[in-house]
Amino acid sequence: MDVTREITLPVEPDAAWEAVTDLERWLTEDSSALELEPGSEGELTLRDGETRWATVEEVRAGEHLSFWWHAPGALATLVEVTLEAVADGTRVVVVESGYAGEPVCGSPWAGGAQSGPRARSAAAATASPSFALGRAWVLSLADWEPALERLRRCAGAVGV
Amino acid sequence: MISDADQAQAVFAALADPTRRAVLHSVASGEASTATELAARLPVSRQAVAKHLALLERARLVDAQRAGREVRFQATPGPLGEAIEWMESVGTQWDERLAALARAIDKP
Repeated sequence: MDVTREITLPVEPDAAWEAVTDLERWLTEDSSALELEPGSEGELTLRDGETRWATVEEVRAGEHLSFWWHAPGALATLVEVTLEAVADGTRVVVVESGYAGEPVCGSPWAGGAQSGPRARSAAAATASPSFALGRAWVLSLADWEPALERLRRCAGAVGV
Repeated sequence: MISDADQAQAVFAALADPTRRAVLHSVASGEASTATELAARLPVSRQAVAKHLALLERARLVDAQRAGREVRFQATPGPLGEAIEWMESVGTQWDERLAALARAIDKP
């Protein structure tokens, strides 16, 4: 199960990458809260006031940034930001996935044993895609109509 | 307190398993409503069905009603709709963040 959103910026990938990696320009209150290197961790305050504990997964300059994050006490999801040069600029695609994942225990907010983002990554990878099968049967259940109507409306934007 | 996010994730986790989806499908369509009836229809044991039903119940996707010596289940679609709503709100948040990114490009 994942959420995918994208936007095309009217600039070259280098300029788009510079903006994307300066998190306080679009995502957080303070860019210094998280060093963008694999394995680095930090507490983010988002521009809407929410907080997330984040662990950087992968950084490929000019192309790709991914990190795990979770709100206090909540399950972790993987956020992948991918840049791609297109005719009129740079397409930025954000995919947030892992909603069927396991509880996170690798951060100061969760307490307990360390499980690490990579372990969660493997768990989420096996759990998430199978929801695609879920949609086929969900759509056959006429008595779930109100929920289905919303599912149809957002199916284009929400990957189920 | 269980947050919307946790509840949504419980729903998606419950639906991630194909056998549980089959169990829920049978219950929702009225084909079967007890663990015994479900085990007769599906290629899994009654014990396995009972575990799947317990997980579906925790995700609030089914409701258990005791009727004499048996427990009858019925599907409750509400949490699925709530989970979808929550996913939509996550998408809306990303729309807003990406719009902020576009504004940041306009005004460096």
